[in-house]
Amino acid sequence: MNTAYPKKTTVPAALCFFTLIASGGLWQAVKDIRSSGSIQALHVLTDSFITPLQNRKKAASLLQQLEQGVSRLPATGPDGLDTRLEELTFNAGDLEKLFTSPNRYLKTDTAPGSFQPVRQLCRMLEELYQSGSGESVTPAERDTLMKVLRQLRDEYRPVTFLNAPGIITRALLTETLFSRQYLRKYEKTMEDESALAGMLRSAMYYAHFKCFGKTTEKVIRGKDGWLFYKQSVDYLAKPYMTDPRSRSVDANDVPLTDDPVPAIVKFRDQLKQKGIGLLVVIVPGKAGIYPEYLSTRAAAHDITASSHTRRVLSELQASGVETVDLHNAFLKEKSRDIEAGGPLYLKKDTHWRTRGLAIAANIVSDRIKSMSWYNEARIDQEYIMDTVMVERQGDLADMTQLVNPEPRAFAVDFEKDREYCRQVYSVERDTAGNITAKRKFRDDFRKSRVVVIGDSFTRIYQGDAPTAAGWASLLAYALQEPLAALYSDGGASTLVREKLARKKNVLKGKKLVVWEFIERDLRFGAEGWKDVGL
Amino acid sequence: MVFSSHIFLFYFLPLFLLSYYGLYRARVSISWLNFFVTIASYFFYGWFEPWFVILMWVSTLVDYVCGRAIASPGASRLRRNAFLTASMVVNLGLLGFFKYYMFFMDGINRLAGFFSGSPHAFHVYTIILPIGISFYTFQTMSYTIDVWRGDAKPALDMRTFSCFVASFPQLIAGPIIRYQTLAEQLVFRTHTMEKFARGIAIFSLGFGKKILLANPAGDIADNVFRSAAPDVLSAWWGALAYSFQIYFDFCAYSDMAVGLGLMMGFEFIKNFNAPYRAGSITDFWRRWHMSLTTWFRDYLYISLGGNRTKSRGRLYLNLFIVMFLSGLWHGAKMTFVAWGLFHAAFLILERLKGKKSFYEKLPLFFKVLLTNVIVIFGWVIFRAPTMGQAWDYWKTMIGLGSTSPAAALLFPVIFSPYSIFIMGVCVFLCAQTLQAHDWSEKPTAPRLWLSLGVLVIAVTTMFTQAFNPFLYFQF
Repeated sequence: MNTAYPKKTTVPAALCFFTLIASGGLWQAVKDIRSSGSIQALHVLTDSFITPLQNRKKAASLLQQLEQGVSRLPATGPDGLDTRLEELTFNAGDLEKLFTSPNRYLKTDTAPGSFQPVRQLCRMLEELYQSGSGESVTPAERDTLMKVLRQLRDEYRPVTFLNAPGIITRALLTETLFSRQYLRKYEKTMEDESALAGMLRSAMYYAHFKCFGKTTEKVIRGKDGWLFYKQSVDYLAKPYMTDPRSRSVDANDVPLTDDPVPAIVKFRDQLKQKGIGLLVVIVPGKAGIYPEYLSTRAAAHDITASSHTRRVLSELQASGVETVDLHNAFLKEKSRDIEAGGPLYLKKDTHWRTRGLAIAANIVSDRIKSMSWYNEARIDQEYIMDTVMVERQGDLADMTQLVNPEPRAFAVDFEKDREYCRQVYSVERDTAGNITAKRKFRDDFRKSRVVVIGDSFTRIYQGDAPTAAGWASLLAYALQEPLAALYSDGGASTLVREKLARKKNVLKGKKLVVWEFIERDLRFGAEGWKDVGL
Repeated sequence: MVFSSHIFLFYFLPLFLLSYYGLYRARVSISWLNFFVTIASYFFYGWFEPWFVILMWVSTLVDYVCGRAIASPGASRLRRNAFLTASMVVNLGLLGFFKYYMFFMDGINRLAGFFSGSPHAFHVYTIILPIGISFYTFQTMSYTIDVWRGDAKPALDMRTFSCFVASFPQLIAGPIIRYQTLAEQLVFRTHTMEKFARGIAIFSLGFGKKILLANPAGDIADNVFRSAAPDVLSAWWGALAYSFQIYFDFCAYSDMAVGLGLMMGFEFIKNFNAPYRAGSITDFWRRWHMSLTTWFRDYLYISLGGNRTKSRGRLYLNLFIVMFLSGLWHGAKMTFVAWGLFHAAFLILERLKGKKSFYEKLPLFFKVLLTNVIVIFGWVIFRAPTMGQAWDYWKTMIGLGSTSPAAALLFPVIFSPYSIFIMGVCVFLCAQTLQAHDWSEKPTAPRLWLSLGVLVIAVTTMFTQAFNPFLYFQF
């Protein structure tokens, strides 16, 4: 029996194979040369052998400048101090960056140990500069700075023929080829920025969609053109956040460590110390309210009755946290979908429609009006509403990677969601009652008694088109008083609280923080549920 | 880097092949060619965790020195035994420390907690498991044992031996190669277009199995295993999906290893032989991960007495020990041990019937079906993070578990047209007698081009997959 492949096949096949495997790197090299002039595949070599020497040269120069600058700082009197301090602060910042970001792929949280004293002293310079108090640097402070700078200059001498191999070896061992962090980041960047992948990916997404109706891992295709976010389904289908199964190590999954309830209770306590109340508004996910568009075997009432959100709400209520349960209201309103002209959520988007956010605004408004402080020192502001048509390309449609692919031949037309939004305007009237000024709703952090913090469910129609038509605006309209809102997409669990903490005086004069988040963030909130100091 | 990664396929592999054949064309000697393979393999291994290259080199050096010492002319029995023992101690010591230290200390702490009430009596350091350590330590141990037994001659030089240990195609996930099967090829091997073409074919099919079958099946399995309370149908579907994932994932890697070896002129052994066509558990273990099972058979089971032991009880004990250690080899978790013992129980039962299953008299189809049902139940233990979760999953499979109302929400994901298609292809391929290894050995032009076609589709699909684990890397 002939066991040999036909020769006229083996050579072309081998060439074809080699061309295929070499194409990725070659294509990328051509693209890199055209765009930036540097070939990504060679970055590991430049980062290992050239960048360390360049960094050392720059570090030596910055240290020299710092030393000269510090030596010229006036011992007494503030004349010129601010300018010099500013320059020194920038130089110190540049030096710090050289240590913490030695190349394009490696970022470290800390600089090497020897740099710590300078970092501390540079913080001191920065504080002096920021305080603008005109204080001078004492001789002792200047001498301490000089001593540390001299030590650093001895350690980080300029590049010479003799010390270059040592610098390169050190970089190889700590910053490039022997750094796991560098290798992983480098590999990931090459994958994410691959020109070949970018070109072929769209074709494969299109082929999968046409052959099987399959989209990306983030999107589930339901019936009648509905799209659902996989995370929302995972939230409902996976175990509770503190269930041991959520905490156990799975080779392919990241175990949960945070428990949202204590974090929320702690936030309530922090606000209470400032005399501010907290109202938690958990928005039901589309999959829980309209599960029939995913599976006829799923019943909305059964899912919401046993959902993790129910448990969280009851635990929060047991801890004395004020909450709003939108689930029952949404399930009740769902039965009016036909009469109301459409569902509560957008079909091709993760978010609610105007109907949904209006229900939330009305329920929260009624709750606020029942609070004991409501009628005290109330500032009236008249708001009116106009309707405006909005056409929205759903975020879920975007996630399919089929809406704006390159090339356009692989595009799929996902019908946009259209609806009438209620845009809110603040008005001023004259004594005759005529409108003299009309402005789109704007956040008023100074006058408002209520601050809304939330995620993209607060942003929709508020921060994006048509603006001033989100649930915060409708809440202001329902209350007829000024209001302010902060939001962070996907970050209502921790990031929006950090945003709140960074804004100085934002809680001054406030009576209530309304904290809105989508229920899936109880499990998937960006950065988890961390303690945030206010 | 893994074989199904961007950086391996588009950078490492073409550069390696270009350099390798450049050296070959320049008529570099075979030992320097092997040295080049070793250096490239160290780079490949170091890409995962650079500092563990040193560990592998130390293991290689120890076994090379021990092998030379054992086989040195005039070596006394004592000396031979001493060096063999040294090799075993170093290899098993490394494996034991890196793989089982935390498991062992966790057990100690639990015991201490039982008596003292404090579950953290002893501080446990976090040890990172060097990738592939289970494979290369077993490979090097087989070398010293074979040299000691006289079944293999010692390696000519460190360059040759390093190549045997570190050769990247089989370094991190097998197959576990015996030195005597590779010894001649390390000294002389042919580099022909036919071998290269066979290598392309089997590599391409392996790549296709990984991307087109194992990954989608794994996605289904993960969705079910991670859900709170699936229904019966979903539980079986998820378990079946995992059975396909683990088979195609591991078999794919073995195929790619064989394919890459052929591209370098090496002929490696087959590691799987249609395991899901087995008609009994005994038959299953003749077909599954053959390089590991034969390793345990030749170096442990036979040493314990094997089938020739006079006592039946001793025979069953030997089987128990081998399967216990086989489970433990897979990882430092009770679930792996339990999986090994689960199979041990069935192997012993079949021994009682003369290596025949208790359903031996049924038609072949039902024998295969029942064997697969048993194997699937075993895979549930293997997959589950804890024994409790494995037990809950079993209960769900037999209809005794509770089902969450939200379980039905996963139906469009796990029973999508694409999922059903993939599972159908998996069933079809598992039912075939002809395996990729054999298929690529029967040469026709259409088969070669079809393999390349599979590679092109798999590569393009790879670009769309965020989910691309390699299960056997954790071992």
